[in-house]
Amino acid sequence: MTSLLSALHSGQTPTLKRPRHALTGLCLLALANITWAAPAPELERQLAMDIGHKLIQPAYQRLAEITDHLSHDTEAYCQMAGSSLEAVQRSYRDSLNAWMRVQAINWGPAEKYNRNPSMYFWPDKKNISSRQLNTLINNADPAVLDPAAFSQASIAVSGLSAIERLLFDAPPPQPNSYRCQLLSAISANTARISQLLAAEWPAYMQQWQADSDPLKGIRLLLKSMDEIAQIISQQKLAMPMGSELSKARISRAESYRSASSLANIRANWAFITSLLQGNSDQPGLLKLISRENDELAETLRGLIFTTDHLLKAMDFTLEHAISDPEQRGKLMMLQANIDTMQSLLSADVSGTLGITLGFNSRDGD
Amino acid sequence: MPDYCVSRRQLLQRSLALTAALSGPAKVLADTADGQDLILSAFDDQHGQHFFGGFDELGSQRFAVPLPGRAHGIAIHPSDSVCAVIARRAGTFLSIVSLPEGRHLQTLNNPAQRRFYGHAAFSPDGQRLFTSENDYEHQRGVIGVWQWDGQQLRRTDEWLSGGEGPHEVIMHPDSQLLVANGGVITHPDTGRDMLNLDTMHPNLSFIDIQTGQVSRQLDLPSALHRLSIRHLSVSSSGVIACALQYAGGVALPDSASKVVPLLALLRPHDNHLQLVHLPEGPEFHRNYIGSVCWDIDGHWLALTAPQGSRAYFFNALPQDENSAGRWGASITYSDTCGITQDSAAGSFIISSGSGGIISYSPMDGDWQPMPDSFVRRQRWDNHMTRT
Repeated sequence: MTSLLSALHSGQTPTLKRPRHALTGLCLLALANITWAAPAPELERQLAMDIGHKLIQPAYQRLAEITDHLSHDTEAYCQMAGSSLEAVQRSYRDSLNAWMRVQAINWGPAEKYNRNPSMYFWPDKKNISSRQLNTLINNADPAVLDPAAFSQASIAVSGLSAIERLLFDAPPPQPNSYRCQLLSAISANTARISQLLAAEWPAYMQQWQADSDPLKGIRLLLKSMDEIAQIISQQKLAMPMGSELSKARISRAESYRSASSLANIRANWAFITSLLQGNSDQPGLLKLISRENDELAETLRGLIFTTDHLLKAMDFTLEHAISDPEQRGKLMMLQANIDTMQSLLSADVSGTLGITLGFNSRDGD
Repeated sequence: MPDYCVSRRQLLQRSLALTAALSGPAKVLADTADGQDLILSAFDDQHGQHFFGGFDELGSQRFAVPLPGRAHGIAIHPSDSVCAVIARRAGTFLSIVSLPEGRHLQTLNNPAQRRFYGHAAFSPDGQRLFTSENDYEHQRGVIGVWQWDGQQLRRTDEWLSGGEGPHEVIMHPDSQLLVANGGVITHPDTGRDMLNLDTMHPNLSFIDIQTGQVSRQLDLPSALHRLSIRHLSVSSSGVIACALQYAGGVALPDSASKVVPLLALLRPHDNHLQLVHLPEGPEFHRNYIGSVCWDIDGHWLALTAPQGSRAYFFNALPQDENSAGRWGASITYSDTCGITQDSAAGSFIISSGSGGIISYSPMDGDWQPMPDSFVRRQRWDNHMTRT
């Protein structure tokens, strides 16, 4: 932690390969069993629920509204009723961004009916989505377009990842074509899932209220933050970057068709930071963390500050940057910061809050 | 060549077939046979209840059998459609479960003065099951020998394991039983406490299953006597990989920080264990490897380090005469431990104790999380295997 803090003080971007906090974390964890079992856990329950209501609910609400726009724009375009392909593509990027803000939540309403992978199915190693879409287009069966039927479709053809293929792969969808009708049906399905997520979230929050475990909400939030940090680093960055410059592959980037892969990472990162920092009328998890370990809270604040700064300075797309030596270096710095965040969350923050995320790490055999 | 992703594609299509509403595109539904692969692991659900479960490569549940306690190793019968699920060390039950439907057929308990030590293996002819056990009165490891008559299992014999604290047992392709004698003595009165850290003497033993006698033993250098040999995997070409744990727990100051090798390899014509250091220091893995597995080709070896949420991949293709191989990628995956072969070469299926299962290929760094929320919801226990 010392080297990280000194890097912050000297104004440099901390780019530790991976901090060695695991031991600290586990020692804290050992203490946690004794020290943190006692103090008012209802505070944790209340904070998690407040975060759910004031930070996550609006994000779901926004997703529902924006995907509704996308659905309407698509329909208008396909029926030649006033939209353009560019407008639909813009609408798509907004929707994707709204989804990436909540992508990390794969429990609660997002877990039902596999809604989370249905919204954006990736990685898709063998391009299953495209193959299934092509089959659907070749068959041009009108029954597939029925919203009721679509609600049950394969996850690979039911959400934003499928829409992206139809909107950005050649040939572009022509109004009044089956391809356009399919696009329209998938957009409607995406809006439908998003509305259900927004609608079911408040009732799900009530389950946290009633749960016998006061830490349940905090545990789920922390688990999502830890997981999405792992995914950003190892899937969203490492996969397209490859182990060296010559192994960079654009087609391995999450949303290379719409060149949104870096925007996705920004939105995923914003999920982590908003849950930690909160906003002007809702404190985040840092409130709890600083109560127990002020130095850790300071480290997190510094890491958020430098990473935000780094992201702001990235005026390129990931798809381009992976093959540019200089920009690639910036991506590696970003990756190192995300790894640092992941390590702090999984070891230090979970230890400080007395939360265990799994069980193999505790007792193996 | 088997292709994991082709079968994954088929599974995606099958899920589409099962939900049945996409009635139109007959072609999508056409080649949806396959799907015979079944992956098996013990798990805890969100309420902490213990189960043994089976799922497909999409992560969709095939079955979940409630168990009286946490289970650990799984032994699949070579020809009958059953498997044995063994209680976690120092456990008292052994369950027989039918495959692929997951019917609970029989539960057996430990004999008097014995505790199950977590793993078991069927003989190649399927007539016997061998279980690693602790004879705690005499402080020695034993192998329980059980007869399988096609319907029921019953205890018929017992052999010495060749050491103390036997843990994983597997069949070698030459029909000898390999035993990881971890060297750690425990007693039911003191739970999982390690009682002999100063005098530990782990070894890898070969037992001739015709005679029940130890035919060969390999030791570690005496300076490394606290390196417990606990998990085993043998490749298609007969290379034995032993995953080690430095015993001592947090009570001993150096146990989690001393730099020690955690992988031992034995090639078919070698006469000693070749020790290999991990590519990262103990601050990443706390000198603790939880599971080890070769890929189907025997070129890649995977090791999981649950205490550091890390997985390591070793390419054992000979680079030159002096090297055992080279380390490939390392990944972070929360609370990871369970690992099994994927159906494609150079690829593994890896589970997380905090929920979720992925397929990962160290060659190209490809991840493919299993999409079904069933596997996301469960806390996967230490070991996983596939039919």
